[in-house]
Parts: sequence; structure tokens; C-alpha cells
Amino acid sequence: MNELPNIKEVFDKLRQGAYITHEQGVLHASLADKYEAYKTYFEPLGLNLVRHPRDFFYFHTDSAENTPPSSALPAVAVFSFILIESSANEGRPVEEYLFTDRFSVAGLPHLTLDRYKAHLKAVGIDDEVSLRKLIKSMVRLGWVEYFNDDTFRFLRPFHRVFDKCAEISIAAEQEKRSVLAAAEPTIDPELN
Amino acid sequence: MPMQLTPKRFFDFCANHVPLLHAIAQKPGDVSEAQVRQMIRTFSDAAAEQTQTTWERLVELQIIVPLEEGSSHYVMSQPLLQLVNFLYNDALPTSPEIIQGYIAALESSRKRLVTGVEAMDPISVAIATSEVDNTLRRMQDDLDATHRAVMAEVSRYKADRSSVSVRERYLRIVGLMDQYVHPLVEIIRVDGLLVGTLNDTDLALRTAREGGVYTEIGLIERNERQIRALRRRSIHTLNESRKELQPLYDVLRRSSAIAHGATLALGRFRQMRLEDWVINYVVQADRAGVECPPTDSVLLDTINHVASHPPVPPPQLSMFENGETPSDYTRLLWLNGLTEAIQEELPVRDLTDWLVKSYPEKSTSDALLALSRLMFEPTLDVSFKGQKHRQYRTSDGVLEATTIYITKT
Repeated sequence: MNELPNIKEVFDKLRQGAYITHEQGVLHASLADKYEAYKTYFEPLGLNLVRHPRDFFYFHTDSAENTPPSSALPAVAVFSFILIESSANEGRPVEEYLFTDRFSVAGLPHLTLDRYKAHLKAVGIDDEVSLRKLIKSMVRLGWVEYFNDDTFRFLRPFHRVFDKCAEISIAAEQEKRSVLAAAEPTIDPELN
Repeated sequence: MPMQLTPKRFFDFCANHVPLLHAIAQKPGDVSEAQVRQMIRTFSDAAAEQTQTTWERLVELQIIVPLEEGSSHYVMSQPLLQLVNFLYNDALPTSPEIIQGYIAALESSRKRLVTGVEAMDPISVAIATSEVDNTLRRMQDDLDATHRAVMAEVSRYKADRSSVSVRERYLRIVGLMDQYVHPLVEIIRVDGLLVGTLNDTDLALRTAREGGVYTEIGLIERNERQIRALRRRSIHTLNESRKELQPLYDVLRRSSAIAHGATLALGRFRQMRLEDWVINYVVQADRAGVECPPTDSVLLDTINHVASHPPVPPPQLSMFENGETPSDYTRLLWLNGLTEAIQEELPVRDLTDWLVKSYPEKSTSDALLALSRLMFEPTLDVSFKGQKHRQYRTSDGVLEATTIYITKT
């Protein structure tokens, strides 16, 4: 177990709640190479090392599930959902578009529709300044890289938002199916 | 009774009005007289021919026909529509229900063929053989049309990715896959309904040929060739369609789910308490920080883990030999002898039935082992009949399976 390379650096990074992606070069390579060994190493400490199908790593801890979320998280979620909905409405392939383009705050759709503005206002975002601040807070989550020219791009861990959306959709479909199944009238043999 | 058309006049008119015919063919549903006249003005040369004359020719040559007697709404006549679609490589996918209809038609013709052969009635055999021929041709044409429709949709998707919403593209591509290709694959797969019916029809045709009831052997032989080709081509065509669609299907299905999820989450944002909404709809992304591991709960978990899993001694191997023949060895000998045992009784129309009746003392697991052994035996040829499931009683249970036909390769 002591042979695991860069174990200290990997642990230090992950314990802060950060992601290890391709951007972390050697740390990512070490984890990708010996994922099972790292996972086994961290397990007795109650730390579940997750390898996302899009090839990035993070810690998932059960105790963290019971901790209240930070106040910024609802706003980040509303921001992300608006961007996804708007991209899909414009006919863009959502994942490809969000991961390949660079965005400027001024070009975002968030403050163009009353419905979007109302959602954002409910989480304390009502102008471009607060929107910019929100996007910068996503840098800390490891979801966004912000550039000096006031543009930003999404990073690979943003896939977790896509996963959540897909999960919501599947749950809703299942819910709909179970409601329909329950509503199906039973056949009364007496009537036949 | 429709008026007899002069082919030369008909084709001369068509040749001079190709863009107009294509425009009418592409119009979904029916068109009103006003719409047709507008199309004539757009697509025909008014200097060469008056709009009124073109309109009269369209009706007279039965290029367009009224929806019903006296109606002012028209549709393109079906044979011409098919020809235009063929020429422009436009095609509509065939629904699984239509293919199932063909299969039912084949089955019905087959029954008449069998009855005709039994009654030594060459006229019935001739009619049934001709019906088989027609059905096979139409089935292959429709499957090819499905493939062309898939290819056209894939090309449209690749050529124009920005102008339609994810939802619309989802409906086109995923709809094509879910409503046409997947159900058709189910019907056409090796142990599916189509192959079973084709096998039975092939058998009936062979009986007719060998029985010498029907003297026009050419048609029967052509049917047999068609069956072989259809069996091979239908699976190939649909697999090709599936391969074309699968990558787009996967991407769009996910894209659509992502967009749907985001819209749902936004829609419920104002209807729920913020705390509940966060629990249900937000990625818990910023709570994985670890302060000082291992925590008390981790230590407790580890202790519990050890305490609740006491060590288990390794299994004991028996090192003593007795005079009895081991049961596994007896089973192996039985399995090895099965191929020889079934040889004398080939062809067997229902393999599972033969097995449970020949060896009623065998258990369900032994029966399954025997089935696998015989089904994968290279000297035997196995086919699934695709009929309803039957139940077969073994010494300790019941097997449920479709009929499996087995013969020599």
C-alpha cells in the first residue's frame, strides 16, 4: 500500500472536496493507473473514492450527505438548469456545446427571459454582477475555469449536473409509469 | 371504374412537371384545390402551359385523386407516390404491425399450400405459391424502405444539427429507433417470429416441389431462393439500420433526458420549499471535504465490520475414496451419449419434449445441461419456432420454453 504514488498529494487534493481531472496531470495518471488500489487504501478511512465514467475522481463520504449544503448551491443549480434548458431549446447538443464553447457573462441567456429572471431572483441573483460572482463561486466547486478576459468554460466535473438531470428525468418517468399502472382499472370478471 | 390512362401521355406530362410532382408528393396529408393551383404557379412554367390546363391534366391523368367522390381535397395517387418516393430515394419506415401482417399472410398461404399438397390440388398450390411470392417481395421492399428512411433521417440529422430542438430531434431519431427498428429487430431476430414462419413456409414449398403436385417448379424454386435471401437480408438490413442509428440514439436519449430533467427541476423550484428542492434536485457537490479522518463514526464502522464478520474455517475436502461411481461422472457420461441417442430420431420437432420424455428421471438442472449440449452440438442444426411458450415437466420442476426444432446439419 505504501507504494501508491503521490498518495499524499492525491489525499490532500481530494480531502478539500476537489476533483482530480486530466488537468491534474500526474495525479490523475496515478489514480487512473491504480484506481482499485487507491480505493482500497481509502476505504477503511470511510472515504469512498469515486471514478466517474467521464474519467475524473472525487471523494464521496456518507457523513457529508447529512451536512447542510452551502448557501451558494441552490443558486448554482438554478444557473445550471437554466443554461441546459436554454441550450436544448436552441437545438444544441447540450453536453457537446457546454464542454466545447467558451461563454461570456453578457452572452448568457439567464437575464433575457422573465421566467429565468424570477428563478434567479429567488436565489439572490438579479443582475450581471451577482451572476458573475456566482459563476466565480463555481470555480471553487471545480466545475468552471474563469479567464482574465471575463469568459469561462465548463470543466469535466460539471458532468455531475448532467447526471443529476438525467436522474431527475428517469425518476419522473418512473413516477409517471407507476401512477398510470395504479390508475389502470381492474377487470371485473362478473362483467365478462 | 377509373379511366384507362395512356402511358406515353402520362409519362410525357410527368417528365415536364417533375418539380411540381415532387412538391405534391412531399406535402403531408391531403391538399386543397387552391393549394395545388398555388403549387402549379410556383413550380410550373406559366408561359408554356396555363395553370388551368395543368390543373385539368393533373386530375384527368389521375395524378391527383379526390379524397372521396366530389371532395375538393386531393391526394397523389398511391402508385405514383411510390414511384416518386422511389425516384427521390424518399421512404417511409414500415411499422412492426405491417411486418406482422405479412407474417400472418405468409402463414395463411403456407396453410393453403399444405392443404393443396395434401389434396393433390395443383390450382390451390399455384395460387398459394403466387401469394407467397407477392408477400415476400412486399416484405423485402418495406424492410428496404425502412432502411432508406433511417439513412435519410441520419443524413438530415448530420447535415442540419442546429435548426431543430433537442426534443424534435429526439422524437425523430429515438422515435425511429423505438417505434420501428427495435420492434422490427425483435420480429426478425434469429429465434423470432419471421424466421420461424419462413422456415415453415420453406418446408411447405419443398414438400410441394418434391410431391410433384405443381408443375411450375420455377416459381416454387424462386420462392425458396427468396426465402433464403429474405432471411439473410432482413437481419442484415435491420442491423445496418440499427448501427446507423445507435450512436445518435444514445446521444439524443441522454441529451433529451438532461434537458427534460433540467426543465422539471426548474418547474418544481417555485412549487417546493427550498430545502426540499435542494435535497431532491441539487448535486451535493460541495460537501465532500474531509476534516480529520478517521472520524469516530469511521472507527465505529470498522469495529462493527470486524465484529459482525467472524472468521469462517476453510472448506474440508474429503480425502477418502469409496467404491461408488461419482454422480458427476455418471452425468458426464450421460451428456456425452446424448448426441448419439438423438441421432436415430432426427429430425425432432420439439427437442425439450423429447428430452423430458426420454429421460423423465432427470432433474431440471440436468435437463438444462442436456439442452445446452445438444443446441451447441456442431453436427446438429437447431432452430427456434417462435411459438407460444410450452411447459415441460422434469422430475423436480417445470421448464418453460418455445419449441426447438433439431435436425442434422
